[in-house]
Amino acid sequence: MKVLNKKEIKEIVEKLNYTYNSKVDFSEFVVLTTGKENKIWLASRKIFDINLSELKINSIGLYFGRDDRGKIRLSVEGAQIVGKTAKKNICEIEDVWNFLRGFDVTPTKMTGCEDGNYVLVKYKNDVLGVAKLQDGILKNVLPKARKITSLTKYES
Amino acid sequence: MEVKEIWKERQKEIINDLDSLLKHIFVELPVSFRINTLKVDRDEMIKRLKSQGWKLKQVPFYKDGFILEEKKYAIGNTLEHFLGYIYKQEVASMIPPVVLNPKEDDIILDMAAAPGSKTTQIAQMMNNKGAIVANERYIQRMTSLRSNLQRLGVTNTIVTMMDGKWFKNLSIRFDKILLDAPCSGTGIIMKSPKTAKTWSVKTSEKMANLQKQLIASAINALKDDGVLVYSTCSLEPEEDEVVVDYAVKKFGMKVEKVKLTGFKTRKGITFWNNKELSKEVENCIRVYPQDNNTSGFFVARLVK
Repeated sequence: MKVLNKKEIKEIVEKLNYTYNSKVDFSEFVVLTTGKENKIWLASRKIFDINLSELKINSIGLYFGRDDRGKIRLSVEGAQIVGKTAKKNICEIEDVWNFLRGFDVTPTKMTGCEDGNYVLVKYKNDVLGVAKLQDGILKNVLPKARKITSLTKYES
Repeated sequence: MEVKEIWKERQKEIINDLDSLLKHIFVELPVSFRINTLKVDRDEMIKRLKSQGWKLKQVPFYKDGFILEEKKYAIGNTLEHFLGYIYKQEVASMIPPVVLNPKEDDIILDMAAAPGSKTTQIAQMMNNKGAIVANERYIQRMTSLRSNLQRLGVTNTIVTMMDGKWFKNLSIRFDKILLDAPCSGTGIIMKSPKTAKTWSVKTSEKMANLQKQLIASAINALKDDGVLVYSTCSLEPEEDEVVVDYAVKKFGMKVEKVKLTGFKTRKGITFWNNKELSKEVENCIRVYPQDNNTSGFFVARLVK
């Protein structure tokens, strides 16, 4: 586990700004990375008032995303945070149920999208996560545990 | 499905409406959930759900808790659930965090946290401020705890994997501790009917032994004047009032009165198995399925 310094946090914020034209503010968090994949975690500051060396820690804070060959692959929650201010690399979909089941889907609207990038996937006003845009198709990267196999449609 | 005669006899010593309890103990509970205000605005979410035809009734003692009046939806399979906007949770399970009353600058220990219903509720009540140590001893229960914390967007929590009994040895002192103790589960027979067959007095005695060790550890890890909420989903006095009595007599803990608005509860009992318990144990609450159409629960608020 590594606690990132201001410079390292700034690099992440700039990367997110470059990809999504977003204004992400990490000032209320301690930003951490773990493991070979450089997983990024956001943790509330007060956590560090605790003597952590005494605890057998499994995880700290919220998994935000991870480094994928220089690009940040956001978690669903990371995407929701970035999505609040993002202005580009946003794909809107209609086929929400197939997306949640883990299938690749075709976007119905694209805002400032670059092929080969991770893009935010939106359904109406909800950010569902990210997908990799390849040849106009959203390649599904939802984690297995997050996929829904049986769906309750609520449309009347 | 039948419950054991000995269990009926024991309950008869505590309540005078056993027939009503027996009618409710196998009845399926209504679906209830929390709106997760860490991710969405409560009022906007109510509007959204209502526009989809959800008929909601607010949990009387907790503003973000709701009961689905028509069991029309498997809410665990909805988009709102996927997005972490709602969390399916039984009404009685919402009580311990409300009784704990966490504040934004508290450092809190949830000693037996999986699957995280109460931890995420506490985080929500703290607006993701302060800090929570969410402990779970067993690795097989860790996945559900972590995935629920993630889905609900919780940032103020450290997940630890330790034996709860070990916390007494640490230098950390917590402002508040929730010990939702492992128990025999006789309050949730409607969710796990096999308990009706497998439960025995010995099961409760065995659980009580563990519960006393855990509460002793929790008391040691608590700051002076700190608050400890002890809860179980068992209706057996050995696991409930007798454990609280142990905390009072051995550690000098004070038992504060638990009050819940608009929700029927019963006093803790002060006599069991030919033994007089501390008078203040009656400040605890017993929640019976027949009173509010919930699972059975026991909750105590203790101050060091």
